[in-house]
Amino acid sequence: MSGLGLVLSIAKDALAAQQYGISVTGHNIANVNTPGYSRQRAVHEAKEPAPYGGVLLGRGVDTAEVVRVSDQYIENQLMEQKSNMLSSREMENYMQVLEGLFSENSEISMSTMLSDFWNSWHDIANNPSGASERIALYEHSILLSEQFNTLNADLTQLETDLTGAMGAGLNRINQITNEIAQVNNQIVGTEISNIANDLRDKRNTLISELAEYLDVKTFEQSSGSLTVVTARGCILVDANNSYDLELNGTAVEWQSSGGATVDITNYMTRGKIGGWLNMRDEIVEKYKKDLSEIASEFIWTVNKQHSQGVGLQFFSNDVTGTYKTGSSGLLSTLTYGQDIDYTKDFKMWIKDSSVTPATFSAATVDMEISSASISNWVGDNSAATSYSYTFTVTTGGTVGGAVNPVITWTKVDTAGNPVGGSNTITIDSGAVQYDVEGTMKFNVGEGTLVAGNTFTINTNTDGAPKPLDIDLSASDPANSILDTYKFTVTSGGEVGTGTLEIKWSNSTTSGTFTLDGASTTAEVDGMTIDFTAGGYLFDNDVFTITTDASGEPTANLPSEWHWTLESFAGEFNTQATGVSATVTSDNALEFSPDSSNYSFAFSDDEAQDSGLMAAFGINTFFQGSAAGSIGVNTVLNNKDYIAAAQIDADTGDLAPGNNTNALAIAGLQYTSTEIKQWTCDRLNGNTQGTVNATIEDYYHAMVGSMGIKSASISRGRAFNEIMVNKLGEVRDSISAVSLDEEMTNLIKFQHAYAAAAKLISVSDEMLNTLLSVK
Amino acid sequence: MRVANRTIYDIVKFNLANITEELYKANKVVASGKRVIDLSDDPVGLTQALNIKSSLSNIEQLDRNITVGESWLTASDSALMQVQNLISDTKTLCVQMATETLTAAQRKTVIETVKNNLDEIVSLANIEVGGRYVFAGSKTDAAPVYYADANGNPVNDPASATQVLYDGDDNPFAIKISRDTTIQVGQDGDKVFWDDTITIDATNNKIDFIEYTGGTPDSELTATVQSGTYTHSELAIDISSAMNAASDVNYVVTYNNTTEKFTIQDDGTNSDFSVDLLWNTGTNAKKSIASEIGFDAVNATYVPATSDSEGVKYAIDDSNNMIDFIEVGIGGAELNAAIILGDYTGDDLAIQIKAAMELAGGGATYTVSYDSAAKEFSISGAGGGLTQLQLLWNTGNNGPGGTGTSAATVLGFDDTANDAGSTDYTSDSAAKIEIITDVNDKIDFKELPNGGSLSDELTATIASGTYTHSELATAIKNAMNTISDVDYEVTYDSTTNKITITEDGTALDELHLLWETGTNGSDKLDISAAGVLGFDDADDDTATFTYSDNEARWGIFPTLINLKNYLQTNDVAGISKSITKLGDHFDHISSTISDMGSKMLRMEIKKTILQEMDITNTDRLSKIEDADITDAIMDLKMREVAYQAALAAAVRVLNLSLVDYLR
Repeated sequence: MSGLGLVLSIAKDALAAQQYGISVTGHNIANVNTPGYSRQRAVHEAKEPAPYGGVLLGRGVDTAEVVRVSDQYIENQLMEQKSNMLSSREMENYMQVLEGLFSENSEISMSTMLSDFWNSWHDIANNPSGASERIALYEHSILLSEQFNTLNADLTQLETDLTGAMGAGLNRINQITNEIAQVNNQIVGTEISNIANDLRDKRNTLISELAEYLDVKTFEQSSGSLTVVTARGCILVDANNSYDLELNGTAVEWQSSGGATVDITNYMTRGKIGGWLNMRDEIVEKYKKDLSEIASEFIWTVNKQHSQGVGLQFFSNDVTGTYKTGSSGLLSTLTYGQDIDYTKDFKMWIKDSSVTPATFSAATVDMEISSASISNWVGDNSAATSYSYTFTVTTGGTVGGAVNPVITWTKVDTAGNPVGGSNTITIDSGAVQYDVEGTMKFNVGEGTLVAGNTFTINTNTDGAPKPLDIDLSASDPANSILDTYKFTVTSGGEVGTGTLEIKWSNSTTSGTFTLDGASTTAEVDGMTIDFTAGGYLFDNDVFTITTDASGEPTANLPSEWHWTLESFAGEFNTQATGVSATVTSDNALEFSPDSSNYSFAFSDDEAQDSGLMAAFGINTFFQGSAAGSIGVNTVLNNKDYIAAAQIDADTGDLAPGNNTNALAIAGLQYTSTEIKQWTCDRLNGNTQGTVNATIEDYYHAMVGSMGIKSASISRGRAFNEIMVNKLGEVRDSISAVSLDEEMTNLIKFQHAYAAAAKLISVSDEMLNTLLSVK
Repeated sequence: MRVANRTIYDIVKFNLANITEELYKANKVVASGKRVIDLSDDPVGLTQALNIKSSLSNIEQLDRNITVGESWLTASDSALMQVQNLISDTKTLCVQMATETLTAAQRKTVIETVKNNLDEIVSLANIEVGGRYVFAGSKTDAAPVYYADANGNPVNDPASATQVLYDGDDNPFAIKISRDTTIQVGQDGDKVFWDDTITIDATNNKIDFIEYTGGTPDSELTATVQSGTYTHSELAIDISSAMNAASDVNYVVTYNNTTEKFTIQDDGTNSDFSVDLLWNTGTNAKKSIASEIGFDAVNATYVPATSDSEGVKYAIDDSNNMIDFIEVGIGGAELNAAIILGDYTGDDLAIQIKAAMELAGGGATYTVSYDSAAKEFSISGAGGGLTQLQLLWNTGNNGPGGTGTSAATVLGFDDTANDAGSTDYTSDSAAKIEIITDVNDKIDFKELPNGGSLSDELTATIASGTYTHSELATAIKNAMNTISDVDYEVTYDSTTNKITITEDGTALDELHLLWETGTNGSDKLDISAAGVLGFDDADDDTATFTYSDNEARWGIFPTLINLKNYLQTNDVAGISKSITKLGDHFDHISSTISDMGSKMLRMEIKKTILQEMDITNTDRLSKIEDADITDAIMDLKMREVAYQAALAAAVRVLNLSLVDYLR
């Protein structure tokens, strides 16, 4: 084109370019405080020269593009650190709430209450017949149990609150991912022609906010859309599609497009959600479980000693146990069933007030388990029907000894209805077969048969006796230590032939398994249980497996000698005059005096106590078995039943000045016992260990560990904050707007604009000069 | 480095936030005075602090316990000191009253004083602390010491009481003074106020008694118990040695712990024997030991139930009187000797066997002897052409396979084999006594319990069978115990060959053995075991048992009650006895007082230790928990200054901008 036209064109381009420059600067200035904004720069390029008149002449300036000044790598780093910091911050916040619950500075601190509890027993020991000391103890104990209950409720509430916070968080996450998907779409559309600077900034901001909530990784596709991935590789955003996370009960689930869900709860480690999950599933859960372990051990220790004592009166009304067994009546199914020491005895003193002075008689039940084994079941009952036979020793003795033991048996059908009366078998020497009925026989080995022991044998549909047998020798330790697994048959049959369904539960978890045809091995919570083929089980049959401190399982089979509520009540009734034992309809034990002349009390200062009454919940101080259920036994509303004394074994009477039991209970403050301790890990599951400590020491250590954890989380959060700040500084030094810079740029472009305007006037004058030539 | 505006603002914000947080913490420390407020401030220190607080609470409680204990001990201590004073006063009074020159009337005047002292001691024994009786063991709700009549029933009027009894128990009240230690601060009143030892001296060491042999009295004998201090069982031993020293007869004196009474009896070897204990009429009755061992001042008689002089006899009846034998060399046929029925001593039975065999025999002469130590018979035959004597215990006509009336078992010969091959044979084992149903198995007797009336006739049936002598004693005992509530003890003495029936206890006054007049006695059915047991069935035997009339309890209360009676009856010797006793009681209570003293000392020491521990622990707690005020305030001041500086700097920086300089 002609020279002058070129100059005008150059001037026009120059004006435009400087104007762009100023717009971009203006945009930067306007956004100086916008968080997440990266400063933009107009890129001016010189246009391609064109030949004119034999020379190459430049044609001016062109605004090639407007670019964002940002370093994506630093942005990603910053996002990650922010994620960590927020996780720590949320944990710190909730830890402070937790600390506040266990605060030791207030009057209602747990350790002050525990001290007060033990001191109250000292006071009672100093004045056993005093009423005010008993009232004080009662009130302190109520406060203590309520404190346990409140702490438990508060911890549960904390967990619920955390789940609620997670719900709100997940909602926000879903909103964000939705928006990211939309922005992705816009960016892909825009970047066909230009770099979508502001949209990218907007997307970065959204990702940044998303990272605050959970751990994310981002990958940019060549089309410009960003793929966002979270824990376990679950995709949250892919091009313009977003996938939701949902709260299902307490678990976080990722929903795929096909409708399948993936549980990612235990894999979310960063961001607020990670923090909340750590708090809820690892920290609060651990302390909640540990608190329950303290409560459980505390209840048992105090109850065991208390049940061996007597208060200021004998019991003249019915007394019902607070613990129940379940329909099987097996003592091993009681909450504290595995703490019963069967090598010791049960003793009750009965007072007969119909004569003056009153007379006292003792009823003792030897709680041992018979050592004479039952084996070699042969024959059949000739009725060719399934029955369940229950054998109980009614006269105890040694096999082959001076007194012949007698076993009485009864039978019920598969519906539990009794069939026929009872029959007796006299055992008069060892290793000889004994008849039951039909051709059914069994052997009795050498050893003792203890009155009251019982066992059951089922016969199959042919009438042949088929006892259940289990082999645990190849089993690994169970996951739950010092626990009882209770197995209930929901669908019975013959092991190895039929299909049996058995459900199991222990103190924390439960499950079911099936034995199908030839498959006779079951995996239950870490244990491998080998069922021997042939055993016949009815619906609702129950058996238990107990685990010791290292998790080693031991089976308690119904076909081996054991005690049930019924058998104990039966044996007790043969030993005692004046008091009867019955089993209530909800499977607890009840003692009733036969008339108003009789009253009873437990144990004495020389008896070796088995802990049986403590396991039944009779003459106990506390009821319940965990932090949420602990309470003072309602029988103690009559404070005279607080057992500060022990019965004098020589007379069978109580003395109001006797303080032996109160002294013993006060001494429990210093006794160490095995208490379970939990470690909660979201990925590896919850494990238990034991620690040997007094109740107070365990509690102090628990509170101390809480403090240590809290301190370390705070330090972690402080560290993360510093990291975030440092990275923030680096990022800002690259991408943030400096007003000084922009001001300078403004001047720069202004002058350039003025110069370009001048060019136009000069071109204009030159044209005018040309045109005015005549 | 390029610094954007944002960076400056952010850094200012961040640093100010940090400083305000530090300021806030410092302020909390100064305001509360505590260094450790939250669990996370010092977790390890906090755990220690909790342990210390627990210890402190414990220390306070133990201190309270000790205070309670001290109050009990102080109360008992002062009560017992008072009791000692009263005993001392009474003793002085006794010394005065024992002077021979005073008249009965004068002695009567101090009875009231003694009575008052007794009442005072009883009420001191019933002293209370906080409504609980200190000397009652663990039965602290009722007064432990009370007046009672002779049957043990409580009486309200002390004047009508004959004894003072203890109703507490033996579990003294204890308190916990440390983790593992309890101290008994209550007392078992029984051990405090009743002694278990007694001093025997010249005022109470005599026993006068007369022995009767066959109904004729010998002269009066006096046993002197050695002076010294004795427990009940030791005293029993010494009384028997004293009586044995004075007499040829061996006496056995025992003390029964349950009934608290002494029993005096012989060793079961004397028949036709009885002894009178002259508690009332003896020469030394005033110095007798009677009241110390629970006897009233009334003569007591002891008649044992022992076999008469011939002792236990063998019973020969038509179920066991045949001896089958063969005299080899004289005849060859079996001969059957029949022993004449009756109850015989061993020697008499030997004579009867000889007579029976010579009668049935064919000319041989027999020598039969009886070894009373081994209870074995020896039969030897000689003369008349006898080459060998065979005793057909097994195969004879009357042996176990035949009529079963052979005398083998009774004579001690084994009836599973014949004796052959010699002319002399001795019993294989000890000869036995056979009890045959409805022949000699019945014992009729009547019981006279003390304080009661004669019972109806009881009949004990000895289980039939053959017995050695000692087994027979057991069988008799079982038979009598089955039929009677009284526990009998039957002993056999092999030296004297006599059986003695005694009571294992102190319930019976008399036992009548109705050998003659009983339903099965010689007057009627005549199937009593008299003959076998060595009793003469021509008449009944009445055995009288001697044991303490009252419980033999030694203590201040019985002493004072007795003293009242001695003053009433003007018994100077009795008053002298009381002096020794009061001295004993004084010493006994002194030992209790010193025991309490040492306990109080222990508790004092413990209290001091607890106080020191209290201070130490409070100190440690303070070091952990409390803030050092000077440090805390300096810290706060420092942070305040830092905050002010930071604010000033921030203002300067924030105000600068290029915009201000552009026109």
